[in-house]
Amino acid sequence: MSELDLTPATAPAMTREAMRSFVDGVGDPNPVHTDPEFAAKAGLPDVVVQASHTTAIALNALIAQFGADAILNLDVRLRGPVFPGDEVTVSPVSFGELDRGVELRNQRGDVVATGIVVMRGDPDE
Amino acid sequence: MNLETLGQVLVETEVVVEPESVALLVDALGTPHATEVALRLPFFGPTVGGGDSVVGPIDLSLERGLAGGQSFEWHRSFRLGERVSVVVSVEDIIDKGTLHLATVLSEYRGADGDLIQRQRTVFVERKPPGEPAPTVAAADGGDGAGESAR
Repeated sequence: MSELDLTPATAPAMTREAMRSFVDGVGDPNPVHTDPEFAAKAGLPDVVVQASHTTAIALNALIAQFGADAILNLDVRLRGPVFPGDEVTVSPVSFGELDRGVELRNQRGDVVATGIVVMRGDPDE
Repeated sequence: MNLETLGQVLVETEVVVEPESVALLVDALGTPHATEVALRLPFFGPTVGGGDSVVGPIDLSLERGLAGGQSFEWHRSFRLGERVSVVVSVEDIIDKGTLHLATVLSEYRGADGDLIQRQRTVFVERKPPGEPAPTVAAADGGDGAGESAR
């Protein structure tokens, strides 16, 4: 299977307001996403973006370029935290000929997540 | 984590795709396609039944645990204002040396029972200092204590 024909896309810089809005929207009260003191207790330097928010950044890039109906499955591994101020870029990546992959990197080049995408018409749909 | 929760259904309820909640997600994303994205993931399975509905029973420490992954199987988008049924269960929960891992599965169905989405979230929790790693027999499910640690 060929690599995703995805043009790298950078999401708007993450803000604390956006992080709060997202967790309020999905109803996740975990303070690690909103309370810096709690995040410090968890050994983190700051609050971290909620899991579905990171998934949403990947999905936004996919939907923008292929349309919502084309995306059937998305399997995301969270490999590093996303913090306030981070700018996350979604790019295509190859994990082998059977998988269509995406990679999410912050502005420092750190991989924060990877994902495997199943699209309509793929052999394993 | 409470390994005894393996296979348990923790939440069976109905929820509404509230326009106000979707609007919050759209604001958070701030992109032209944000509404389409939000209608693909308006709920977070581990908290869709309430903040402690999963964290409590599986005994996940929020200070030692984080989501390590998430997978979605979409059959269609949610619709604004629709009422959906959701079942949340513990698909897997294991002792992995210095870590505990749990996979929480949530399935969403529309009013006529059609599957809208399967969502899995994997939690990774560091064990507290001093908690022993599983024995070989337990890790292999070779005795009674291992039954919940497979």
